[in-house]
Amino acid sequence: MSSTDSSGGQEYRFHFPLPNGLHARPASHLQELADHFQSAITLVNERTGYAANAKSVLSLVGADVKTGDPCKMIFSGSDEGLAHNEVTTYLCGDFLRCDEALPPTQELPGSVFIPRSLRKAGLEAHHAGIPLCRGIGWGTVVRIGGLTLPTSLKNEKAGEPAKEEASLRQSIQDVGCALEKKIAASSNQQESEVLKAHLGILHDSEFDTKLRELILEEKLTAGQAIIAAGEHFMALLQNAQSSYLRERVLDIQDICSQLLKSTYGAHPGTEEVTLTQPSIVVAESLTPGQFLSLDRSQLQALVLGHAGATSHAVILARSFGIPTLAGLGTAAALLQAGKEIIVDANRGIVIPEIKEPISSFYRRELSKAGRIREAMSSLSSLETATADGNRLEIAANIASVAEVAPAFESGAEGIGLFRTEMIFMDRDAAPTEEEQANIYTAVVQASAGRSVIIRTVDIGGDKPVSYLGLPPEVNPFLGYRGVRIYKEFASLIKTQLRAILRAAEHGAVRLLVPMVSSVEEVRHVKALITESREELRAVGSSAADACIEFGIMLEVPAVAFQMPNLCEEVDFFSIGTNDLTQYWMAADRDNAKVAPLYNSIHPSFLRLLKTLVDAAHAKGKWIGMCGEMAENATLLPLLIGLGFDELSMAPPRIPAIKAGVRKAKFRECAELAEQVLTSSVAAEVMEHLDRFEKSGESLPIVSPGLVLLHSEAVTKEEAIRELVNVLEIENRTTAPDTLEEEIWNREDTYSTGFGGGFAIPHCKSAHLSANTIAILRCRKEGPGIEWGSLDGAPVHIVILLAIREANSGKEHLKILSTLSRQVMRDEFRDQLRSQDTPEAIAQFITAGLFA
Amino acid sequence: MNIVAVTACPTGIAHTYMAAEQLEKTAKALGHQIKVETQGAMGIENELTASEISAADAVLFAVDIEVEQRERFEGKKIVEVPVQMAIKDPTGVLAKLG
Repeated sequence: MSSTDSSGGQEYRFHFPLPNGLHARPASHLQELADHFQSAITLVNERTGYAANAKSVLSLVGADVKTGDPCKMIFSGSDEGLAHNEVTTYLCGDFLRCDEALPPTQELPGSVFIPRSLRKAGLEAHHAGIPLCRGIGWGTVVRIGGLTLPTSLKNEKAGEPAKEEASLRQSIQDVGCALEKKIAASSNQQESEVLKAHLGILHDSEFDTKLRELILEEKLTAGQAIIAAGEHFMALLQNAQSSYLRERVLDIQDICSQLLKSTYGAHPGTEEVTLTQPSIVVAESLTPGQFLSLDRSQLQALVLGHAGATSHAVILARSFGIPTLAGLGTAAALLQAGKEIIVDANRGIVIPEIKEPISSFYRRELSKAGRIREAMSSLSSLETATADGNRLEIAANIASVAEVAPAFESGAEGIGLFRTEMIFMDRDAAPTEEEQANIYTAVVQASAGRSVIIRTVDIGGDKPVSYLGLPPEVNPFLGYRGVRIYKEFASLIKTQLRAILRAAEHGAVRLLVPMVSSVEEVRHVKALITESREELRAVGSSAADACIEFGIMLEVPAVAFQMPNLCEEVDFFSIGTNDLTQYWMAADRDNAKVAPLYNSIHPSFLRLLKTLVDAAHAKGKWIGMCGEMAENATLLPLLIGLGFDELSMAPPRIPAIKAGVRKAKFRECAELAEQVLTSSVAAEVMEHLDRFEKSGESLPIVSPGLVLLHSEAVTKEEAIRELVNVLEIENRTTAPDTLEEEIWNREDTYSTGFGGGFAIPHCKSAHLSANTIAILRCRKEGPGIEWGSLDGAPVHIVILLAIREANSGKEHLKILSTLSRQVMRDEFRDQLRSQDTPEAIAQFITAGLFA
Repeated sequence: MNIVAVTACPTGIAHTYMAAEQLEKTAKALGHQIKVETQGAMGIENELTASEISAADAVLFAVDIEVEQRERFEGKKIVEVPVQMAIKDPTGVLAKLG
C-alpha cells in the first residue's frame, strides 16, 4: 500500500512475504537493488519499530523481520519516485521467488533424556550435543580460536589511523576477490548463494562505517577493529528471534576470520591459553598440541564444534577422562567467555545458566562420580586374571608422554599402544631422531620396566602431514597410508626405527606396524629395521643390538587368510577393531546413513576375531586388541571367552574392565563365546550377552552401602534421586536416569507414602543387576519430606524396593512381600527409626526377611 | 463374620501385601474370620477355593487392577475399594461389609 509521506518521500506498506523472514540471502538481493538509487531507502519493521538502512545487508538482517511482520519502506531523495516504483514492483514480483525452503536441518543429536529430578529442578535452557567422552564438568568458559587475536596482537598499539585503514582496505579487497573467484568457480547454487551473502556482508555499508569508526575514532589496529566490528554485529544477530538469523553469527565470524588471515597471514600465531581456575574450554576444534598444553588440573570439560569421535583431540580427551561434547552447532557460539556453565556429557547437554536447585543436583552428581572412581581405583594395582585364574593383560592406549603416569595410575599393566602420529602432525618438518628418541625413552622410563608397544607412524589419507607432500585422495581410507608409504619414505621411517631402538635400551619395547596387508610388507619393514641397526652401529651406538619384539596390527581383512604365513614373520598381533570393522562391513562409522552397519558384534566379525585368535595361538603367538571394542564391558565376557591375551584401551576404562575380568570365570565365558558364534544376527548375539549378564552371581538384596542415614533431601525428587545414585555407586544399575523414571511411573499412579512417616517407592526394571532394597532416612529433627502421603504427614524414612523384570528368583520376591507386610507393623517401624548405623539396619532387615 | 478378600495393586510388589497385612490384622482384632488372597508379582498366593468363597459371608476386593479368575466369585455380592483405602482405613473398609 503506497502513500506519500507528508514530510516528502514515499512509503510502501506491506506484510513480509517470505517464509523464513528477512535473512541474509533475501536481504542481499534487496540491498543490491536499493543500491541503484540515490535516495535514502529505509525499511521499518513496524512490529519492533526497528528502522533499517536498505542499502546495508547487516542493517536489514538486524531488523529481525519475520514472516508476516508489518513493514514500511520509506523512499526519500531525488529519485524517490523511481526507487519507490522499482522496489515495490520487485517486492511484489521477483522478491517472492528469491528464497527457497530452508535446507533440511542437520542431523540433530539424538533426543536427550532428562530425568524427572533434573526437570523438576527447573532445567529450562540447555543445549544438546553429542557426548564423546562421558562425565560432568563444572567451570568457567574459556574460548579458544573463533574470533580472537593472539595476546601480542590484542594489546598492540595502533599505528597511524590512515595506515591501519589502508591495511584494512587491502584485506577487504583481497578477501572480496577471493570470494568472487569462488563464486565464479562454484557450480553449486546453495554454495554460491551463501558466498554472495558473505560478499554482501563484506561490502556492507554499516560494516564499513563501523570499521572506520573503530580505527579513526577508537584508534584500534586493523585486527582489533575487525574483531570489535565482528563482535558488535554478532551480538546484534544473537538476539534475533529466528534460529536462522542466529546462525548468521557464523557467517560474520567467517568473514572476520578471513579478514584477519588476510591482514596477518595464515598463522597469526598460536594462542597460548592459561587456565587459572576450573575451566571449560570451548573451541571449534583443537589440535593435539593445544589440548596437551592445557592445565589438566583445571580443565573440567571440552565443548568442541565439529570434532569426530576419532579426532586426535578427542582421543586424548578420552585418555584423560575429560568430559567432551561435540556437535553443538551454533549453540557453541553462544557460550560466552567467563560464564560459569555445566557440561553434562553423560546426558549430552550443556547448561548455560546455573541456578539452584540444578546446582545441588550436579554437586551430587559430581560427588557420586568421585565415589565411583574411588571404589574403582582401590582395585587398580593388581594383576588381572579371571576368577578361575586365567591371565588377561589390561593395557593402556596413549599418544603422549603426559598420559603415561595417569595410565598406570588407572591400573594399566603396560602400554598396549603408543600412537606416534601426533609427534609427526601439525608441524613443518619431520621430527628428528633425537627428538623422537627423547620422547620414546621418556615413555619407556616412565613405564618402569612394564612393556611399551610403540606403533610406527600411521599417516597419510585422513591423517595428512604437510611436509610429506602426499596428494589428497578421493578415498583416504582405502589409500596410501600406514605401512604402504614406508617404501617411499624409508628415510623417515628409519629415523623413527632408530629412535625406537634407542629407547629399547631403557626398557621392554615392542614394535607394532599399522595397515599390514601382506607378507612382503612385513619383510620390508624387517629389512628397514636391519638397515636401521646398521646405521646405529656405524655411529657406535649400542642401540644397534637392542632387543625388540615385532608385531603387526590386524586391521586389513586380507590378514585373515595369511595368518600361518604372518606367524612365521612376527612375534605378536594387535587387532585394530575400529578400522577392521569398517573394512569388514564396508561401512563408514561417521556416515549417518550407514553407521548402523558398522557393527562389531556382527556374527561374521566375531567369527573373524575367533579365526585370528585361534590362528595366532596355533603358532604360539600372543594376540591383543587395541580398538574401542576392548573397552566395552558388555562384550568383555565374549572377548575373554574368545581367548584374547591382552586388551588395550583408554585409561579411564581400565578400572571397570579389570573389575569385570576378575569377576568372570573363563570356563563360562568360553561357553558363552561358543554359543554366540552360532548366532545368525547381531540381535541374537546381544540376547546371549544380556542373558549371560543376568545370570551372574546375585548380590545380596540389601547391604550397609544401600542404607543412607542423615539424608539432607527435602523433596521427593531429591530423595528418589539420592536412592537411585546410591544404587549406581553400589553397582546395582548403570542406568540411574531410566530407573528414576520407572520409580516415578509408579509414584505417579498414587503416592507410596502410606502414613506414619514412611514411604515405599518401588518399581520393576530391566536396568537392575540384582533385586535391591535401599533405605533413606532423614534427620529425625528435620522437617522430613512432603510425599503426598495418605495421612498427609511428612516422610522421614523411605524404603526403595527395586526388582528385576526377569523372573529372577521367587525368594527375592518373597522377601519384598514379607518386607511390605512387616512395614505395616509398629515394632518393625520403631526399629527402623531407632537403629543408628547402616550395618545395624541392613542386618535387621536381612534377619527379619528370612525369618 | 467370615470374610474372603483379594488384594491387587498396580506393580504387585508392595501395596498388595501391605493391604493384606492391614486387613488381616484389623479383621482379627474385630473378631472376624478372614482369608486374604494376594495377586502380586509372585502371582496368586493364598488362593481362595470355591468352597471357601461359597461359605463366606462377605467378599472384599481391595484392588486397583482387574482381579484374576474373577469368575470364581460369580453370584456373590462383592464390595470393591481401592488398595489405598484398605491400607489407610481398614476398619472403615471392613465396616462396609455390613
